[in-house]
Amino acid sequence: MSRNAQFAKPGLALTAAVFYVLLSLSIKERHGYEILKYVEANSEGRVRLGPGTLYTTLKRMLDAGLISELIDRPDPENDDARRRYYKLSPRGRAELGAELGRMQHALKLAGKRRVQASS
Amino acid sequence: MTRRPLRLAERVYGLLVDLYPKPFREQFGWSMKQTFRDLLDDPDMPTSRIWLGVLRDLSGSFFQEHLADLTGGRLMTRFPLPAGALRVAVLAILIATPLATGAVGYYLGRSQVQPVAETAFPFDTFILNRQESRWVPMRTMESLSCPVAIAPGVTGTVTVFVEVTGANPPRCPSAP
Repeated sequence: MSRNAQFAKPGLALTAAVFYVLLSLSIKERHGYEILKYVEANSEGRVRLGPGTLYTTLKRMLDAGLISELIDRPDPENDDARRRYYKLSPRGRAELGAELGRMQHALKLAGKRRVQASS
Repeated sequence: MTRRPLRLAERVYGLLVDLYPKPFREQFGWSMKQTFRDLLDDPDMPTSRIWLGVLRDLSGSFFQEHLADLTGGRLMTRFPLPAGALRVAVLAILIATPLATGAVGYYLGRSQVQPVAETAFPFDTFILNRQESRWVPMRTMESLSCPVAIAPGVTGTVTVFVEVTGANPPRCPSAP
């Protein structure tokens, strides 16, 4: 399987890291460190990415066409000339939507079956 | 733009980044170093946690990228299985190697070469003293050419190994 085909099977769950990176970029364009901080904060510390894991994940997502590098710089106020910014691609948005749909379906199913998560 | 001197941690991390495959390093090396600098500058981020993250990276993304570089990305999948499987494999090798070595040592320790394993001279050669049922190291023995009667009126010599101790000077054994 080539790198570009790794996300080719619809219906399969995304990894937690990929999901949170997609979620972070669905709001606005971000650079690597911003993504790293967003993922850690919004997963409540359950997903912690080091710089290596972060850029390995970003590379896979770039290769798969889920995200792309921003060529036009963001607003001058937010721009840091040294950094590379990433944005969500239409395919990435579709994958994120599909993942959220899967989660909603799972929650609905759990509600019907009266399954309760242990805290 | 002014350049400030690199901290020791940044230099160490720079060396670790240099260990990633060249294509990955060329694409993301600078960004990785910049992100590491951002982490060091973050007052809410304890240094121990930063280095723990780096260690996790080395056990995951580092091997994953080298594997991807070697296989052209064929082992990269949607799931984190290759990284997980790789970690398990590395851990298994790290745990199994000393265990296997210990098991071989234990097996050898139970076998007849035990005296060799226990001696302070590991390269000694031993001879079995059948009368006393014990192993005698060659270095405590001396070879003697002793006369022996081959037939009535015919004598020859035979080489005999005799254990030499303070109370036992080397001499040919008497005929039975």
